[in-house]
Amino acid sequence: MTEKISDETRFFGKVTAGVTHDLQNIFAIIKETGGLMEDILLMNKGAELPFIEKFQKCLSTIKGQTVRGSELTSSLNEFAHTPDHDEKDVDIFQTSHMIIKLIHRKLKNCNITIHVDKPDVPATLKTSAVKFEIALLSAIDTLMSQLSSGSSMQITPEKSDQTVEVKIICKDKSPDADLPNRIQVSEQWACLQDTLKRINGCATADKDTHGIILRFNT
Amino acid sequence: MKGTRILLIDDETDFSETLAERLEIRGFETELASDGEKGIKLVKDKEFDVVILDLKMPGLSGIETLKSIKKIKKDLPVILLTGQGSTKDGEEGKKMGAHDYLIKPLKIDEFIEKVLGAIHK
Repeated sequence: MTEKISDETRFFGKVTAGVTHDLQNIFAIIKETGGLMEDILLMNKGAELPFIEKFQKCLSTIKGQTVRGSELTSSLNEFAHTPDHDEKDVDIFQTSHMIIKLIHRKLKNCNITIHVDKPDVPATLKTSAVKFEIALLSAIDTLMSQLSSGSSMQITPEKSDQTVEVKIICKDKSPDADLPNRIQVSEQWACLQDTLKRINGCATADKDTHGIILRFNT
Repeated sequence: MKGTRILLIDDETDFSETLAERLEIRGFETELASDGEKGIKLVKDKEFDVVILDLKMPGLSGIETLKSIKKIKKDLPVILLTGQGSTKDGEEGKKMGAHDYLIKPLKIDEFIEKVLGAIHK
């Protein structure tokens, strides 16, 4: 039986969803205003306008940063809607993408990159989206704590008749054969297994790929 | 584009006013409504080629406004505006008769392409 999402989680989701929706509107207004300024400059092409190149450079920065801000708030908005349902069809590719966008700063600080493979057949799992996100984030976090700067991860979702697997393969800059053992004794490992147990899943530290495989029964 | 009449229904008036100005530069005629009820009244009273409708508005929601517009003028194309995290709402709107949906912030070229596509369908 699916566990109910707590009132506290729903509360945080609701407030964050409202604020991020407003932020998206703010970015839309800034973007359109920048666009209008560009239009005005274009209409006056050929006219002797002072500092024209500086204006164009500023507008280009405004455009780029609104896209950046908008992508980030969109991901946060999507994340905030996670507790709307106790259980739903989770698209693993889409969810992985969202999580990576949200932890972009942490990944950048650790100099680690993550790539998500798009499966030929959509890999979906009917489960608690909140718990799935916690599990995925814990698995990524576990690996991040063990990998050296400059390493990368590859997330591959796969669906078969009976199971859904999420393979997180590591390409460590300084390969270490002991990595699977270190993963299993890390403090995040027990927490990850506990979360997975509650959504009919389990994790294994894979010796071949030096990564973690999350396995769920469907 | 010249003479194409667009009705923009959005409670974010800074957004709709700026967008309207950009569209007018490109030869479109625009009219603004800051909520669903005002938008419905304009649809009743005037002729438009296309309606741009924000999905999340206070008062009458975008979906409710869409239903009313479709009751008044079944063939008037309506393009919905939605946030990136709410594309499901856009898909839902298409099932209820909207021509298409666009994600905010907009790309002006994509916006115009969708507007012209809706008119010439």
